[in-house]
Amino acid sequence: MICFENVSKSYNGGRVKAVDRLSMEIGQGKVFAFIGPNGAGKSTAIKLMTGILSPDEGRVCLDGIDMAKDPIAAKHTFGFVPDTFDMYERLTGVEYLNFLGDLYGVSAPDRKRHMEKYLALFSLEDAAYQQIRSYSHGMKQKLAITGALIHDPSIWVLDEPMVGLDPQSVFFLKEEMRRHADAGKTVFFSTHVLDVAERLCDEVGIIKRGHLIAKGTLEELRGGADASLEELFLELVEEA
Amino acid sequence: MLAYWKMLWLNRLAFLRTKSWTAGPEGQWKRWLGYALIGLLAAAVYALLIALEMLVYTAASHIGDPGAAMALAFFSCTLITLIYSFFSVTGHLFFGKDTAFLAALPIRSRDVMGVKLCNVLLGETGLALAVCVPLIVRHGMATGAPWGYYARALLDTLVLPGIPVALTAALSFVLIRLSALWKRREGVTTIVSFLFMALIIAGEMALTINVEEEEMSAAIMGLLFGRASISRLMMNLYPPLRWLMNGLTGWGSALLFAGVSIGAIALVIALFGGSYMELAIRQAEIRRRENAGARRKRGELRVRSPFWALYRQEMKEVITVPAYATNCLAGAVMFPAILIIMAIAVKSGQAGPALSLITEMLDPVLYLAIATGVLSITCIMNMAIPTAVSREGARHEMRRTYPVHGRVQLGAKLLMGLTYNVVTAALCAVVLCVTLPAFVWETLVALVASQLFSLLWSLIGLMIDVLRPRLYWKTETEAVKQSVNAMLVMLAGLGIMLVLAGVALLCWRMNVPVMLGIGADIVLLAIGCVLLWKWLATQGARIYSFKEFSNL
Repeated sequence: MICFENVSKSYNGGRVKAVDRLSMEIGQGKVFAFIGPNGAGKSTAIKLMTGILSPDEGRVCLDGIDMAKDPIAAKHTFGFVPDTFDMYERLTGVEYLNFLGDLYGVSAPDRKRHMEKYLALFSLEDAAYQQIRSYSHGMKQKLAITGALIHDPSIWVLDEPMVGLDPQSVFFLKEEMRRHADAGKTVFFSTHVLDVAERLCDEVGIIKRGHLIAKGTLEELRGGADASLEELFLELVEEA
Repeated sequence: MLAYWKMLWLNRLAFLRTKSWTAGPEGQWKRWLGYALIGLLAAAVYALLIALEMLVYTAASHIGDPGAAMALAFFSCTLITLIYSFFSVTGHLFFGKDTAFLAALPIRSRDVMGVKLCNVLLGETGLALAVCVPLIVRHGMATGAPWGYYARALLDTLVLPGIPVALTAALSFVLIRLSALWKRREGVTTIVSFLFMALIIAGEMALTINVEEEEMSAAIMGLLFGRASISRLMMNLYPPLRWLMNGLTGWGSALLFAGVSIGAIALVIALFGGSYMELAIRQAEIRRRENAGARRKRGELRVRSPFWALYRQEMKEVITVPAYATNCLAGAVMFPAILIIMAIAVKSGQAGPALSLITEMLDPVLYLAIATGVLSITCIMNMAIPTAVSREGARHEMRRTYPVHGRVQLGAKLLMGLTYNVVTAALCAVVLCVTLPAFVWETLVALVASQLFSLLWSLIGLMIDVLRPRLYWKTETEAVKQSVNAMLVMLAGLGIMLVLAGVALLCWRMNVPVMLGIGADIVLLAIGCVLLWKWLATQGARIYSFKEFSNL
């Protein structure tokens, strides 16, 4: 479960409010899509959730663990796929995954099982033994996804995960996200691809200028009207 | 071409735009204060350098050869440029990340190489000006020289780095061409870089050692009896220096030196510039070929604790990235190389009698103090520690998401730095043991004691990099080269050395046994280490894990 309680974050000495009193709760077993225009505060919210940034006020809890009070335990709960892959490019894929396995304390049989499963899923079995810097953007993204799942986290956070992936991998990724949520875990992802969000997610959160302007299931957001997520998004963003 | 040059300089000077600083007014104020303090420190160091130069000039004047001080300054600048520009030239030309970007632009290969070399030259010229101008002015004032002297001296100082930079550029081309023959190109580049560096040092030392005995005797006699020929000695070591020195009094030689320096650069650009981009792109595009033969190594995955996983990663990174290896581990090659060459010279009989005299006369405790100092100083060129956080760059964000305490992450970095330090010191200790077998035990004790200094120095380095990391960089060379942190830590190391030597000297002046002086130093070092580690493990770890840096 992910919980934002009145979280605010500003930059430039308080002049720019990236996230403003954000409060929301995302329950277990759900795929949650976080959408908003460019510069709305999506990435800042994700950085606050993953402990990269600390909130100016409010608190973020992951599976009931306060990120500010026990960051190490909170960080064990999630796997994170960043929007850009700035990793140790001279490691091979397997070395990188093994490194993450060590950091998350994953046993050898478990990490082997996870590696085999996801490397096969994303057709990375051969490339996994080559240096990461020889990978294309999509391959790096697939490796980041595999790495985020190495410890079978209860929360899976993805920042723009579909960018650079081939159609087959997008399909597998969506399947995996659904499977993860069906296993009672939480999937939180930010995206600009509204079609994917519409078809995949259980709940949607729309953020604009740091404010959460809407949150709920698609049905709740539609309010009985027959509108696509794209139409809803444009309407809500325009109004706010 | 000019547009590219302008862009490079705008990028370099971007940090001066205060509007781009993302911190608030308070942050800006702190930043200005930081720059002011660093400026003051730099000014103090520069003042010390000028004072030293003036001392040398006065001494040279006393022996009737005031030009010797200038010859020494010109020669030192050339030598420093030769050693250090090799890495910066190789890094700028072949390890920049902008190669593919530039290849797609309508700029000629020769122009790109020219701009890159000019950028390196400008940096080196700044150093030459800083070192030589005070002496030029002093000499001009002492001799009542006309304006022409200043113009000629300034012209030759401006072009002084031309020949060494041209030489290193040619060497770097040879290096990249050679390494292209192997699949593991980056490893070969690193190793050959170190070999080149060792060769330059060896060549220079061999030249100094093998200078004509008559000349050396003449120089020593001159020093003793007030009639010196040190200038001539320098000119024979580096022949173009003759034109430079003669150029101080006449335009002909001055223009000849300037022409040769500029010509050397132009020749290198003309010879290699046409094929530069092709070679640079091949260097950047090695990955697929390098990995083509990568075999699948099936086997058990080895499980490590987070600390050892991080430590292993830190160690590997410094060795496998050529820009890091050549910049961070230069001392690990340079110090043992110097000692080995000296040892060979001693063993080959040139200094045999002096060595026997040292072995017989030297008090073991005094040797212990000297050896501890020598082995301690070997660590201060290890840039792996003062850039340990900065080298993370954009990865720093991802590292914050790892479920590992900041203390553990910093501990892994610290141990990485200490490992490289102990290897360097141990290599030097082996050379000392072989050269001076009578002092084997003292050398071993010195090795252990020196590691206490290495620990304190590493802790200071890590503290400075935790407090002010440079996380926003585009090329790996940027992360380790021209780092203010590295400069601060080197100064701190020298400062600590002075304090420790002062304490030992004070004990000696007060007729306290040398052993007690060493003991006092060890106690001081231990206290410093404990206090700094306490800070790093608590406050430092918090800053590392949570502080938002303006350039993050």
